[in-house]
Amino acid sequence: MTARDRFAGTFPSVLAAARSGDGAALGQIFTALAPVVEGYLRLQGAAEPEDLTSEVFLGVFRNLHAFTGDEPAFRSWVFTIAHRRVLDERRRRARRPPPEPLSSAPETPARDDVETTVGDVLAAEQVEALCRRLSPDQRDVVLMRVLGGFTIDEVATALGRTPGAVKALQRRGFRAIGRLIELEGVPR
Amino acid sequence: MNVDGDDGHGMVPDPLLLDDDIEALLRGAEPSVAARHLLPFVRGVRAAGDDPAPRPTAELARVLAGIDTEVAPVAVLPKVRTARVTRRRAAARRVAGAALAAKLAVGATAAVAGVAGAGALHVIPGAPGEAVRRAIETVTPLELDDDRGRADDGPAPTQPTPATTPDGTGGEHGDRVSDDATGADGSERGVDGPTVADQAPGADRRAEGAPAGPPASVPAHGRGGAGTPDSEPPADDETPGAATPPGASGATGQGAGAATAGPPSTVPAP
Repeated sequence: MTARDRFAGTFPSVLAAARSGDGAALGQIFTALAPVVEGYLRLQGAAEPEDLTSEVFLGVFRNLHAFTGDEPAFRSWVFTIAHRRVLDERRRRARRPPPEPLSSAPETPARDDVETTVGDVLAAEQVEALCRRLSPDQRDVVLMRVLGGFTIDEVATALGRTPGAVKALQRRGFRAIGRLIELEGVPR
Repeated sequence: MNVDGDDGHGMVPDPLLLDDDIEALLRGAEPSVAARHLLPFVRGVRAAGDDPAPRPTAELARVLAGIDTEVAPVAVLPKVRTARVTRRRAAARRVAGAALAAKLAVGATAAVAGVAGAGALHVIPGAPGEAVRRAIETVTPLELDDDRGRADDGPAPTQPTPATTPDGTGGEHGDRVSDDATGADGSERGVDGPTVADQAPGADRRAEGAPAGPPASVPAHGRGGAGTPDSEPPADDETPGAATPPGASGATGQGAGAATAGPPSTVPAP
């Protein structure tokens, strides 16, 4: 299930109640969107995706008064806030690189690992490994399109890019994923 | 290139993956041959958003529970720390991070400042306090009050006091003392030390608790200098000499009455 239908048509009333500080409405928003946001943050490589998700929603709830729009616009706004947190973390990492892991485990799965995948779905670790191989710009676009379910135009708005640039990044990103799968194996 | 053989699951990555192939893949439509190998990845990414909602942090949990109903914009939320608290903490961190010698210097400075301040404010009683005040007056331009609170008199003069009589009516005190001592004014030779001291310029600024001097055994030589010997003390010690009619009393002069209780003493003429 994508994030698009998680409010089942009740978004306007939920938003109105949340703006008045109703805890149940705030919880409904969190329950509907937090899993997707956390998945986005985790696949972006956030160090503490759960805590960062809470930070995102604190920012969302404190600025509810400033939002106007429908549910797709709300989801786009939430993802924009989440993406800003990702950018903040990238900047922090650039200033202070994370310590080297003690073990030198390979980032990409070996062919035997790929074969353990259930069905036609890559395991979470494999997905994360593939996402890490993308450039940050490609990853932003691919994840917003696949996980967020946004259109080209919505992604362009959220990232501050032109639709053409988003399309180009998307194309290069998916081609890179294809090459990695070719080289390192695909699920049987 | 077929990676895994011809079992139907083998995928042939197409380097010419087109935008339409991607859109069909994302829509959930049957993927094209060019995009089929990407389907497991897309499903895996979407599965990352199917987990239950993560556990909220304590701060967010308060909001969700309705305990913290503050959903105002961040811009109007109060700052956690005031600038004053931040400065205090920064100063504390600087001291804590300083070397041992620096810490000792800071402590010694604080102790000296504390003792000096206490001495200046008369918190330290007796001789130690007096010593501290003298030390402060020696090393600084400050002139501190004595224990009797002379601050009420106003700031201490920094220029030498003119040699005039205490009542300020003129005449040089030194000349008069000299005349008294030599009997040049026709009176008995000799001067009364305490009286001279009381009439000397600045006598009113000396401590009131100083031992009372002896009464004048010689004709008083206050302003007017009529020389009525051993006259009675003024009825009112607070009466300034200037208010006493000339010749009405030999013991004139400001504060002279207080100096009339002691035994007489004479100062030999030079």
